[in-house]
Amino acid sequence: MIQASAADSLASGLGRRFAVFLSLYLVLSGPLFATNDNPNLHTMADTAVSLTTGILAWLLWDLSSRAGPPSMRWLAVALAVGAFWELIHALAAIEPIELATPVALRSMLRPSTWPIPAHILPLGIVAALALSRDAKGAFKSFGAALVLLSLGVLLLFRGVPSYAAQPWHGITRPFLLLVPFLWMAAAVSSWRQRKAASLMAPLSLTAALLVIAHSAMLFSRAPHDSMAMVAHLGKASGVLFLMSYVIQARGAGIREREAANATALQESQERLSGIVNSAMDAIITIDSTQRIVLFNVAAERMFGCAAAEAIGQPLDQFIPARFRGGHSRHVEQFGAAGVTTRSMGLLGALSGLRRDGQEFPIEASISQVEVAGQKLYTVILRDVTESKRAAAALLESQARLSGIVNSAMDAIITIGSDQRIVLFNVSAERMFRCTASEVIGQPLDEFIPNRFRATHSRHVEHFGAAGVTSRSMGLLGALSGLRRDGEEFPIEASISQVEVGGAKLFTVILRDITERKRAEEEIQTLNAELEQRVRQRTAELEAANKDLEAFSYSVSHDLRSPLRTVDGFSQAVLEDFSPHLPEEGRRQLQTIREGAQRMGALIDDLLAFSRLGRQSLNKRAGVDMDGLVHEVLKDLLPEGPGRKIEVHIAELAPGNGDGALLKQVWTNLLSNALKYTRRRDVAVIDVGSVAENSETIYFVRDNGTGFDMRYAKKLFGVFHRLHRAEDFEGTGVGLAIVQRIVQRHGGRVWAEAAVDQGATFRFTLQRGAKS
Amino acid sequence: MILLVEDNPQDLELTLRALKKANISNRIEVARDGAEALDFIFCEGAHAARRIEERPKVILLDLKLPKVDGLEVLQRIKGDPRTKSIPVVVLTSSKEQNDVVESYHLGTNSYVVKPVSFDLFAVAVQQLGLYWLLLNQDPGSET
Repeated sequence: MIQASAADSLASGLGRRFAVFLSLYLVLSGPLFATNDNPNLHTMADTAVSLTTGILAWLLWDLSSRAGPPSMRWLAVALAVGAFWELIHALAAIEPIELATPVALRSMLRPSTWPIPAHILPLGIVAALALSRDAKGAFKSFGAALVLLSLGVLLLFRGVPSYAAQPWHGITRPFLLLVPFLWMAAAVSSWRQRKAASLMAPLSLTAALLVIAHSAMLFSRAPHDSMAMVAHLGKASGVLFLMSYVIQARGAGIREREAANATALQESQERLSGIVNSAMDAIITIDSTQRIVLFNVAAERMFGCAAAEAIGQPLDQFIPARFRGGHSRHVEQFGAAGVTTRSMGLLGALSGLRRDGQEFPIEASISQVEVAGQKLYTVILRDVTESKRAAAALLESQARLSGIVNSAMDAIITIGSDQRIVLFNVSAERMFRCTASEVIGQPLDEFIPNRFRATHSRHVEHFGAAGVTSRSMGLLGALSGLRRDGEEFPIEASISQVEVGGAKLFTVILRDITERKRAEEEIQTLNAELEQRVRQRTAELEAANKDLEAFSYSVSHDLRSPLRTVDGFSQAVLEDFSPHLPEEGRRQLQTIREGAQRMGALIDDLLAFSRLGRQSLNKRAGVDMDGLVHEVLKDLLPEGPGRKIEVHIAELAPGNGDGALLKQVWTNLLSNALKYTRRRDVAVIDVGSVAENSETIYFVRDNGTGFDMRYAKKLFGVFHRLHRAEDFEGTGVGLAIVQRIVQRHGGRVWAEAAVDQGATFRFTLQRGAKS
Repeated sequence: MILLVEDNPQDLELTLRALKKANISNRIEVARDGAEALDFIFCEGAHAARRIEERPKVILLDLKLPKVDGLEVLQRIKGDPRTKSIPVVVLTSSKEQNDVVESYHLGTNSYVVKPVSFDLFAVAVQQLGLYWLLLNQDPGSET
């Protein structure tokens, strides 16, 4: 855009410039008519034209090599050829050269070389403008063609006289009539291309000027006459005009480039500055005396020091004292080495020093550049406090993990997606009986029994595809491992996966469950044995029960019959033969009957006792113990006057159990109490209950004969009696029945007594709905 | 007529004695085992000549019997429409609950345990006679 606007301003100044040149030309042309012979002016004009044309050719060539349309190059070639002939023509006019030239050539050199540039130059321009459209770079051939044409023109004009003998309409040189037309063609064709390149418009104007100049030449009567000079002056004005334009255009181009460069430089500097100040790393530039010339924002932050304070100061203030010497040498060596960048800190950990005196680890690189003969070093620094800490933490975490992995009781094996082992912990070594170093990189298959390999492989692949992060293995049945020595053993395993750097790693945690399996099997065997034993015992018990039932049945049936016989026939004897029997005989028969009846009672009690063991409990909660006690007492207490009996019944807690059986307990205990208080003037019987923990204790206390505690243990045995039958009747089964009923309810029964001090019987029942 | 089914000769004698003491005047037929009892009741074997319409007024039945068990005899009596209305009193030494339950299940009209004491036994037999022979009205027996 800048170049386009410069071109516009040039184009707008073109008309004025041409007007100036044209009017100068016209004004200067007037005096030329004062004298009709100006050989010196002629030489000067020729020289000027040849030089100017040559310079113009060079300028165009130079211009076209950088920018501009290809036609410039063709024009340059055409101008160069024209300039060459102009030069030859000018040189021929110089006296020493003219004198040195052979006489034969002398007549031809000066007058005959003149038409060459006159024809060749416009012809070259027209050809160049025509060629510019398609030809590509055949400059040498174009130049050669022009030279050949020039020689043709030379030969053509060699024999032709410079001036016509008879002027035709004032035209003294009709042979040159073609030249103005050629220039006219050049003017027209360059005018038509004025849009293609900025040079075309001035070229067209120049050509137009040269049409005038060469038209004037047609009227010249002698080589140095006024008309010839007007023509020469026109030629010089034309090429100078063109040259002035080209020089100015070049200047404008250069200025534009410079301006563009300056802008670009500024932009680049701003960009760089932005980068430098937004960099995360501190960037510090120092000069060869180690003084700071650049200190970016990150550096300000890192060292806790504003750039304004740091710039101009020696770098040393940011280096811990003990490193200063080393650092200086380092920079000097670097400068001498001449490499442009290098990482620093190869000699060990580097440290920086903050303004507040705090030292911190850094990582640095240095580069050098020479600006205007002065070496600048740029150091890029990174505060690695965090990353050092992170690295240390990582190391620690790795050590910890490794510690865990290797102290784990379970085998831990990690495999890659190719199922090759990458980690094998100590427990795994123990389990599979090989060392980690032997197996790392080996396929996992080695440790899987043959028949499981394919399944396992699929399993792992599925798992990988499923994308879950951990899962217990072995859901499909018992898994097995294979030790190095070929032993197979049962395992339990879980698998997890993790993606590290795009690669999947599978970690399998394995437990050798040989021992557990063995223990489980042992337990199963023991259980089976135990069950077998229980079944056997149950069968034995059932058999014993059956035997007991049969026994008690036969006792009930068969033992009682003979007793009845004994009793019945004793009675029959007493009834039928009483008169014949002495008193003693009747007493003895009576004794036989008592014995039989007593045995009957014993059998009945024994049967009742044995039935208790077999009878099922009909347990209920909340049995009304108060009610039971009153019912029992109603049956037991003799009606009417007789004994004096005081019965105190405290409110009794309801019991849990079989009501009928509990009634039996109360019956036996209370009848005992009544029995053993028979000899007291006043029998005192206390009945009560006490809650204790989860039990209720019921008691019956009497003031009867009591018993000796030494025999307390025998009290509850079947047929065990602590009193003589003649003192207190009984079969010795009552308390045994009490004990059996209470025990079947999960309770205890015990007694406390002393001889003649009364006795207390206590039994417990569980509280609550249970038991 | 009373049918007394009893295998034990001593018990039989004592029972007869007790019945006599109770002044029971009815004819007493005795069967010494279960088979004999069934022959008598259903007029078979040795008793084929007997008419079945001649029904006992009560059958006193012991349970523990040779050949055919007392419970089976009971079952046969109560299972036959011709005999099921004859009152049967189980008179046994057994106090076993199973026997009591099973007897009632088969349709016995009464269950009496023979006491060891003859005095008590005599009282029991007397009361049985009083009840079944005098008090109780039975549907279609001889008068």
